[in-house]
Amino acid sequence: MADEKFRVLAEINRRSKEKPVLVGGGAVEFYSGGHFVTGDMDLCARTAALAEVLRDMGFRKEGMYFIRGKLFIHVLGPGFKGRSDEVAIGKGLSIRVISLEDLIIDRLNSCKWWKHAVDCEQALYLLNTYAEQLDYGYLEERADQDEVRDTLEELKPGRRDRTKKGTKK
Amino acid sequence: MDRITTIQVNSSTRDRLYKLKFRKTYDEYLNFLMDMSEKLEREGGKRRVSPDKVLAMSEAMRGWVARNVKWKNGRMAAVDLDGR
Repeated sequence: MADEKFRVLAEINRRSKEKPVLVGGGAVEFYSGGHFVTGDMDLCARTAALAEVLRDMGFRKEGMYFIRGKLFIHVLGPGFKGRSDEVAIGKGLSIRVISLEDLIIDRLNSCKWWKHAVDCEQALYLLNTYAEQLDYGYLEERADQDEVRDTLEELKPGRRDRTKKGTKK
Repeated sequence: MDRITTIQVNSSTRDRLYKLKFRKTYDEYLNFLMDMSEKLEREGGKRRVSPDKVLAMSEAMRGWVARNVKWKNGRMAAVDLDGR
């Protein structure tokens, strides 16, 4: 089911002129290979345009969700700020997903300000799993903007010696 | 006027969603949250990170990432979902 979700998202992506960005728990599920599972998928996109695509694909609207089978999609609107990456998932399919760095900042915010334990765990997980690949310059810049640098430093593994690219100073 | 639920779905859909997301019905989840809230309050609002477990999961995933993820200019470019 987990991978099927992403294949459906890829089809949504293919049909959409303006590519929706997967954020939130769905993005954590994607980057964690299903270690963390979410029940719904949050997409950032213009609601009206995406609603048309979803209806064409057999989703029905119920409250804040578009539902098809076990897949619940929540369209958050077009306000996505930050980086996102177009990631190929095979057979000509791709999804657009919030960058690892922005996702970590999102989790750090929830960890620090809302004290959500699972988001602290997810931030720790992502920081460790992708320690070699993260752009630390951008990550730290975003952490300063959101005033979560202290939480980042607390959870960050090995730090500077792990990476050369994007390092500030 | 009929009142609708706080998350704007009917109760059976809401329970389906909560079972998918939290493996609990909405009411069970609310009870869980209340218990958790009381527990956190007792613990002085400490985070409940279980770093050993998280790091073990992370270690396993790093091997998978090395084998199945392609990077381009430092950005994730492709994932082999069939490798999962």
